[in-house]
Amino acid sequence: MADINKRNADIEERLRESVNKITPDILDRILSDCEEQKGVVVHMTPKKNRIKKYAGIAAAFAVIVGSVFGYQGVTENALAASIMLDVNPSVEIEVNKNEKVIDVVAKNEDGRVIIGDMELKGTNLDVAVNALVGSMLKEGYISEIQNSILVSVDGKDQAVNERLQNEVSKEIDEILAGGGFSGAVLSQTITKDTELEKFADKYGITEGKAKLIKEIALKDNTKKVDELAKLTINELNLLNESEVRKVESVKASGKASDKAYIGYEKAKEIALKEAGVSRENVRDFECELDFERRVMVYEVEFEAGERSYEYDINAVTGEIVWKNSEVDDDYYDDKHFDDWDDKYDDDWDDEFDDDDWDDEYDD
Amino acid sequence: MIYLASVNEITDINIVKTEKLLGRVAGGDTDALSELYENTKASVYGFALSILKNTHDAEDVLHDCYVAVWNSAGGYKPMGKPLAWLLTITRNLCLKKIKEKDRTQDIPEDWDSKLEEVKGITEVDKLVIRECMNRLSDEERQIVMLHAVAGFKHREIGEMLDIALPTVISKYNRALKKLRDILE
Repeated sequence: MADINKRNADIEERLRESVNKITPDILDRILSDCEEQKGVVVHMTPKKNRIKKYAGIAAAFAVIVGSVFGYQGVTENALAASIMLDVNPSVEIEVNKNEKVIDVVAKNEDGRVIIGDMELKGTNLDVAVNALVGSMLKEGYISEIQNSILVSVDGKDQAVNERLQNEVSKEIDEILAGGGFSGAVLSQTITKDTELEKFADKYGITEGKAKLIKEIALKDNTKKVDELAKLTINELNLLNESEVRKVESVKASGKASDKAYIGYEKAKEIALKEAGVSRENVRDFECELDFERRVMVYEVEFEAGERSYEYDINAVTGEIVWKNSEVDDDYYDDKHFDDWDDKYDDDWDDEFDDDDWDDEYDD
Repeated sequence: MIYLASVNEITDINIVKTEKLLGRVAGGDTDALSELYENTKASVYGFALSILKNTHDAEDVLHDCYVAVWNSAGGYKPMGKPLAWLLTITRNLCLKKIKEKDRTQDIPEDWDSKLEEVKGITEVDKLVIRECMNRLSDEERQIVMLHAVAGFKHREIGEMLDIALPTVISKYNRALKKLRDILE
């Protein structure tokens, strides 16, 4: 037995040594990603210097690579898939079967701003994604207070689409982590059609965002699509996070930032103060972010005493935009009316055969 | 037995040291993070590899783990299990990666060619790792990795992997028997 233990120990030592040898040394990369996050404060202005350098390098690289590859030939450059990115800016990246960029199209003015004069044709998809998202960071479209981005993939091969969806999402997660905060990436695969195309062109968004909006409106018919179209992906993401509206075809990672807003706790406080009620007396306290009357609001609901209260509170300013309070019929009834007849004996009629008397009638 | 006992001793000394490092990491000390990395990277990488069976993904998790430690060291409460805390983070990152991975892309790793480029690697090293990856079941492999590389006791392994202690022991024995049969 001792011999087996010794032999086991030898094997384990061998394994320990081997694993030590094959463990990669990535300390530098880890440290540089950590340094970026040191002492993170909510930045109201874009973190220009660091990201500027990065986006500049990526763009320069893209130019060099673009000019080396040049024209590939007709079949080489056949469109294999489109990758759409939406934040506020909306852009669409078209790639061929080798994941080389054929074209990058801006869908709105903000999209034009972030593309700038970068020449991305012929680059690899991940280089283009890096350059575009880096540009969004530099220009302040994505930040800690607005951290959501939508990735939509449309292409002939569903398996390829899903792979691209996952790879691009992961790429973006890492870029944002490098920018010092965690992003919230929504992703989906879609199939373009003329209806989506028309809607998208009308509002200056990609078909991906159009599809997302349609799905949210389907799940919640109080939402009009033309109102939703004007919201940023971050706002749509915050709406999407509430249970009723979770859109199944969309994959979500991370958490949408609500740092631009006053927060659930503050909203609840405001509601309680308005109602003149203290927290201990409250039942069924609920608070949810929503989009009502063209603004993002906290919908706060609760019951206290015999009343129920509802407040819509502007998520940015804390202003109460709507309120309602009524005597809670259920509670009132429960307390006063239901038990009065308990003392009467309900069983008196049990001896009468209730159900069978009509059996002889042929139904 | 003597050999195994000394591995555990070393581990005990490391607990105090590691918790001190975590305290410094929480305070923003990158030197402490570096030292922590050097001390624990093999345990983290080996464990991730035993779950994911793929060097590319294991390297991603290795990276993400220490960034996560950097971000959350402040939340670690010193209770004498700093390495277990680290490997819990590792395990969660692995499970997240498995969920995100596109299953149709699962190509089995060609261990020999993958390990070829590693500096100082011997044929025996390659053999041990390949056999670990290919011959052992998922649980056997994770148990062996936690025991051999991270130095955990069977009871601790049971807690970390949510497996009953007798099961850990029997799987461990079965795994080592497989490896003995092949490697000797």
